[in-house]
Amino acid sequence: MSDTEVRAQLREIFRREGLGDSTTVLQLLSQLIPESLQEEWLDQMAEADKKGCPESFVDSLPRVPKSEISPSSSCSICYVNYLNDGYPLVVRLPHCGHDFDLECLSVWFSKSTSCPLCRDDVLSHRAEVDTSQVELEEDWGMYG
Amino acid sequence: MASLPKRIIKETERLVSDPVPGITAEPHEDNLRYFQVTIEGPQQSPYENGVFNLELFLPDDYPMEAPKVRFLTKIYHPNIDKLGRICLDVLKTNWSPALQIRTVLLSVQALLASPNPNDPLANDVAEDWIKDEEGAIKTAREWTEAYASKKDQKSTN
Amino acid sequence: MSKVPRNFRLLEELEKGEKGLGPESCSYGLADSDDITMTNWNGTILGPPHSNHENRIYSVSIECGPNYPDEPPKIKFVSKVNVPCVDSTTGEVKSSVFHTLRDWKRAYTMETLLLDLRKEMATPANKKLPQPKEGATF
Repeated sequence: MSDTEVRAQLREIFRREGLGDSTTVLQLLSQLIPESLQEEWLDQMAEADKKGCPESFVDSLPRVPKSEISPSSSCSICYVNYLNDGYPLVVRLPHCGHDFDLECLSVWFSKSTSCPLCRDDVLSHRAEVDTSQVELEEDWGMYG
Repeated sequence: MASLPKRIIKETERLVSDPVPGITAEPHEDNLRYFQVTIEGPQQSPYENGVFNLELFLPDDYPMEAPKVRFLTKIYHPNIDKLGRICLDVLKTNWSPALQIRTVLLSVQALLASPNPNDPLANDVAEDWIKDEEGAIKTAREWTEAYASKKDQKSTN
Repeated sequence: MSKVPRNFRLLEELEKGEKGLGPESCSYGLADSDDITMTNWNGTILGPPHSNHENRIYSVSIECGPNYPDEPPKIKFVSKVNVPCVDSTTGEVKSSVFHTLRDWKRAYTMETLLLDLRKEMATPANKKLPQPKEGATF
């Protein structure tokens, strides 16, 4: 099919049913886009699929103060008791409240956006993160 | 070989000290990331009275990456292919590092109890399953008897 | 790096072969898709250009034993070929002669083997060797 024919067909579809039959529309549109560019886009989409949370999100997670860590609690990713480390870096997910070693969680969040324990999509309610609280905890970290 | 992460050691210890009913998992002596697994077929399923051998491997990135699991015993199931590869969400896209060897094997056992022909891996088996469920269940029973019967396992192990 | 056990290693190789992720100049797949031990494989090598092998497709059979990949597989040409490292009566690739088999490393795969054989066919010493009639088999 030539470009002119493709365009004519697209016009016909829009006239008849608007954007209803999107598969056909996409198929026709794809004929107008050079194959190399399509591949590049597909690659980019695949890349975007793999992506986890932005680093800034992980950095902004509230730390759990050492005084609040129970002696028996451990990270459910590495199974190591939090207090085995004299300076435990434990973070709590603001929405579901699950806590993990910062180090473990940041590796997981580099490829996923869901809480390891409850699968809550952590990026779906980012606006709820209280950043004033975060600063406070970080101050504590300096002296703790 | 690189030293074994604490998590793998703990999981292995617990699999031995507090085994899951109907499931065994033992690491190979020469590769502690490689497990020999048996799963008993769930009651009231076509796999009842069968014992299935599997192998499980914890890749370098475990637990950030799911364990690799495969059936070694032939099995007629719409989500398990001829080579024993398993189509199960927690082994692929739904993996989470809070899951464990134990939970994965329980999921595999649950998959035996509820085959899902609408999300197939072994396409021809899934087709049979949809077309003639009764016939497929009968075949699954026959295969269990032929390849996974308990007395055979004992004699070969 | 931990040691990937034989079966999972072969599954990785199978997947790569099935998805066609490897180079175009060779291919491989299970000889029997039912074989849970994944022992026997079929491969092809596209004859290297600028040689007497150009435009030919060579079939090989590969046997991955129980100790693969700690030990190299056995590989045998099905299509007749005249190269010093291939036994001229059986088609077997001689492990004492062919360096990839002789100095086998665990990291090598069936793909390594096929690509190295292709290179071997294209060396200055081998590329102009007279070849049997196309399509002849051992």
